[in-house]
Amino acid sequence: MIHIKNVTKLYPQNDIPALRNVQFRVQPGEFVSIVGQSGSGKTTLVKLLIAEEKPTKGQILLGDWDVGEIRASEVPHLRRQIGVIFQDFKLLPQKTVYENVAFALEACGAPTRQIKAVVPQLLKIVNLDDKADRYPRQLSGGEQQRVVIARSLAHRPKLLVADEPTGNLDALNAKEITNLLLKINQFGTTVLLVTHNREIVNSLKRRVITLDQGMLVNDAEVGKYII
Amino acid sequence: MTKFFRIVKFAWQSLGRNLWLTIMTVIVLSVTLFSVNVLLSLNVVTGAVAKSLESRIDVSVYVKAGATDDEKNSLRSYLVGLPQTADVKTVSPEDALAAFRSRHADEPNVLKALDEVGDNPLGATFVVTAKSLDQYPMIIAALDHPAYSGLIDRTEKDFEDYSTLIAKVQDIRDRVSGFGIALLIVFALLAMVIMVNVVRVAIFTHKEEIGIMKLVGANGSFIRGPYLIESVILSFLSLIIASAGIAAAVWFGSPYLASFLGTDPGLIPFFVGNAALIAVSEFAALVALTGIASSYAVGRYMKV
Repeated sequence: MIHIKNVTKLYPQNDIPALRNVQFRVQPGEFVSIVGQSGSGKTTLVKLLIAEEKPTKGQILLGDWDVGEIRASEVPHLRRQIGVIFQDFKLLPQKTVYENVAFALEACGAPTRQIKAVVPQLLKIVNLDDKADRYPRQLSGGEQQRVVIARSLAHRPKLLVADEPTGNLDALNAKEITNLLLKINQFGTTVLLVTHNREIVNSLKRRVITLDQGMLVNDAEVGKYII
Repeated sequence: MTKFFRIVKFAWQSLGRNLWLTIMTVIVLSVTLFSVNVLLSLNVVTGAVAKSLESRIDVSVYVKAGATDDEKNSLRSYLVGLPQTADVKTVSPEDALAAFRSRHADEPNVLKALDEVGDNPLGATFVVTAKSLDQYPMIIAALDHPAYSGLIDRTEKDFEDYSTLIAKVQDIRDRVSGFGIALLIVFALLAMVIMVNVVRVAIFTHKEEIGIMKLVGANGSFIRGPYLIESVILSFLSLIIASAGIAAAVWFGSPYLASFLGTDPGLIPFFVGNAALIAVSEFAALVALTGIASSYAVGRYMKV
């Protein structure tokens, strides 16, 4: 369902490409870790997938979407198909836990009745149903990340992209988040985990795509963190 | 409709949950609007002062002592019939003499000469008031009519002086009025700049949120909408506060101003008579300004 076809990304005023001729496919329901050191192009790949940037060369096919060719007006629709989790959480600070998760549904015009039914379920999945009225500043890092996961699941996306989701968390919380991602994958959601956390990658025993200086250097079905 | 209600709900939530920012924004907008209204009041006051000054200007036509009643009546009718004339008052020779003595009270030689004359050498005086200041020159020119110029005593006052005085008053009035308008325009522009920047700063504090909303899949109108509604609400609140301030200032200040100027500047009637127009214009201008500033600022931060 994801096809990265010979993608190159060159940022303006930068001679070295962030990504060079990267090519791989991801099938529906897969759990793929994308690893590499800082500057290897992992975050650039995430930005290309959510149409925050466009590829300089190549194609990015996400289901029926050619992400490099979509119009600006179609970007919000694309992003509703993809759940995204960031290292710095990106929660709306003036909205409660409930409101942050509900926002994803309100933004696409979901009826109030549906929102009232779905949001509590999502909070239950991430074990935050008792903290629905709290604000992000009143939560721990792990709890905030769980809110983000709940929000990313609001649209029942087929693809979940997690960009360094454990970067700001301690080992225990990191493990908890990883387990949550595995649980989500078990329900059929394709998960792309972008990380440089060696321990997590090695413990997963899933497919690992390795990037180095913008190039794909390894793609192993049961991989390890080799950089 | 659901989307609209959600946008309004988000706007109110944002204003309430960023209460200090809301209060400071309203204060700045209110003070700016208040100062624009103060300048408006200043324009009204200067206009009233200029009008008061104009109303004190008149032309005194001194009739020669030997003129008959028919000649005096004919001259009076002629003056009344001039299209530029608003009013003609008649001062009797006796009242004219008293006024002459009063005007020259500091000139003993003149008074002595008058006493030596014995009889009242003065005739009647017609005090002519024009419909507007710029019509006095035409009235003065009309006094040269061959049928009547012989009846008018021009030794007492040279009409050239009147023309010069009237021209000076007109000049002062026009300069004050022009200055007032220029000041109002400059201040209105400054007010606009202040308001736009206040809104930009307010939106800047939401920069990160705007980016997050875009990443989560909200479209442009859903992101912009709450900020536009906030602009309307902030504009309304600022207008209420500024209006209350100017109403209080005008209500309590008018008597003191009237006492100082010697004439009622007419601020209360002006604001009462134009309340709806002023309120609607200022609200519309405020909403347009803050809305445009909001929309532009949000647009900049939406480039994610």
